[in-house]
Amino acid sequence: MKTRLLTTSAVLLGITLATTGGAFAQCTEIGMLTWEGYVDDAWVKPFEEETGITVKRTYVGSNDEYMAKLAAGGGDYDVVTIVSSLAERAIGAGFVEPLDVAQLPHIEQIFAGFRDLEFIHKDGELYGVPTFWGTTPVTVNADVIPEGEDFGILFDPEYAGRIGMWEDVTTIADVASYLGYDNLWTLTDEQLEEVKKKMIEQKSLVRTYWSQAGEAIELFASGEIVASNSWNYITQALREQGVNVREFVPENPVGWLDSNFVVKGSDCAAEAHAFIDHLIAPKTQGQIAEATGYTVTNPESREFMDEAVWEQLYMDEGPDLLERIEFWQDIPRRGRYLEVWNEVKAARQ
Amino acid sequence: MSGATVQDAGAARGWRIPGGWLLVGPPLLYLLVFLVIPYGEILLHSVWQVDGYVISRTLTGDNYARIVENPLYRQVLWNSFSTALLVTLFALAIGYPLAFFLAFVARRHRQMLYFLVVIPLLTSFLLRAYTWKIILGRSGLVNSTLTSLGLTDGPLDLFLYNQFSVVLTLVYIFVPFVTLPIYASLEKLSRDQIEASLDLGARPFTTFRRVILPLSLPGVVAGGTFTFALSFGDFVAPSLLGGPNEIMIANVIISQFGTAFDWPFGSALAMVVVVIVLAIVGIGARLEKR
Repeated sequence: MKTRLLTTSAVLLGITLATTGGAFAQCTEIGMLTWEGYVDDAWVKPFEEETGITVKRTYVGSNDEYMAKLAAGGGDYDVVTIVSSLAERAIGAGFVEPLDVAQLPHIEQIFAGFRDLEFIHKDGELYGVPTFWGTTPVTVNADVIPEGEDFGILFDPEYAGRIGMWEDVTTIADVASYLGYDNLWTLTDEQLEEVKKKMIEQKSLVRTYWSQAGEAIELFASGEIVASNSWNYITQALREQGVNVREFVPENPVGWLDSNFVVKGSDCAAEAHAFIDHLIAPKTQGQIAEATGYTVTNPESREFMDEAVWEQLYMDEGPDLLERIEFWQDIPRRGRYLEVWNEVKAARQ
Repeated sequence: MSGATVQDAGAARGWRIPGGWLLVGPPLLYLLVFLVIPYGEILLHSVWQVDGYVISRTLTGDNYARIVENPLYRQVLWNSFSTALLVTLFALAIGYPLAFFLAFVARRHRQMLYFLVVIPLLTSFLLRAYTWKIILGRSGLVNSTLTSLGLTDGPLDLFLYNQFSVVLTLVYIFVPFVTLPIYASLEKLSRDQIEASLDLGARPFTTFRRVILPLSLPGVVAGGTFTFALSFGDFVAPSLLGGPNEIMIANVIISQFGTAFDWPFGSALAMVVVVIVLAIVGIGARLEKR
């Protein structure tokens, strides 16, 4: 017992020395604000055992809740996972603080394209560490639509009454991207009108709009719909249920990226850095990919991942896909985007 | 115990105010906490505006102007209105005969039937809406029955994800709401009046039209108002069972508080709904008095 205590202290001391450059401010517990399932025991336990730092996790149910919790004062948390669409706002609002890259040895390994993304930087400083991401793919019933990888499937009269669409502002971006626009998050009034026109045109083909993943899964499983813009998770869940579905990424896909940040004013910044770095370590990334079905940012994770998973998660296409992807970003005119959605639904053909 | 005695003694000496306050206090407090403050908050928010993730407290009429200017909001209010009207009419058409049956026809089984009317109210709204989805879907009960009877070749789409499924579900949910008040007013109705009418030679239908119906109108108005107000503000049925066209005002309001983060605009929309519903309740109350 005594020796173990000694070893732990020695390790702790080592880490503290290594990460804070000798200053004696050590924490034995850090708080993390994240989604459930993102920080599983499988990869948190090894960190806790290795460092003696306990990771206290608080789960959040929606992106809006994140902002509310951070706005209410970050005091309880040291690390927070923030999605790309809110990153700029969180940095701008001063909820998070700049990172010390020297304390993140693994950051060199992640795809450069992620490291250089604008919305995780401010004034030349890095704020967030991109950890995993996904696209909004198109999921189709492979029995009915065995081939074709075009977003246009969702506008094909052949599948009239069998199309589903995700009722979310992201869908506006999906359709805008299909129409060839590249300013997905800052569409002009004219462009929004075009998107709206296209979506109203599509209405006669649409069975229903869904808003929760569970709804989409059920719509596919019960045969109500055969194609929808979707989430990787939905395809995954349907496969597990034995539904013959396939998914593809449109030419210019829309995607989301979750990055980890250090909360402003954290007393345990060094430990927070250590944990954030642990989450992009190759082994952890392999575990995350297998457990969550989300694509990860560190290609060195290949050896810790099943080959099938590697392919399914587009890891091979990584840098190439990254070029074409449009990550969710802050939508300055969010209210207007939503209004377009409502106008689509209220329109009488 | 001793407190009560002191109180009583005080009251006996004509010192009534504390006792009176004790009686009036809790309801007043309730009104203040659950009505005045929340509605006041909504009213205030409706004349503020949002700037990013911050609500700025400068007075503005912009939110109301937006509601008037964009035909979207009239369309959505109309959707809610027409859906609520349909639901109310159908619920009354089903609820009235049901209440009549309970009050006058069912004798031995009245308790059990009454219980059967009430029992759906003990289950969650969401669950009941969801059940209809299972019944009406492509692989649902209706379609599989039709197909197995050889009446249709394949599953029909027309039962689910349209106005029909929304109205049907709401009618199902609100039938107990109209049945119970109508039953209550029929129950109170004195048998002597009916017998007098019949004795004086009125035929049963005339008796119903001239005696029973007018006397049960308060129940009809109460149940109808309830149903109208509640289905006007519903958002679950259109989002669970509605198709691409089903959008009601409550769906729009909810998205202002979530996705759009525009509480002020959502509040302005909510105020419009409050005014419409109050007007309906007012008309109902007036009808009831006559």
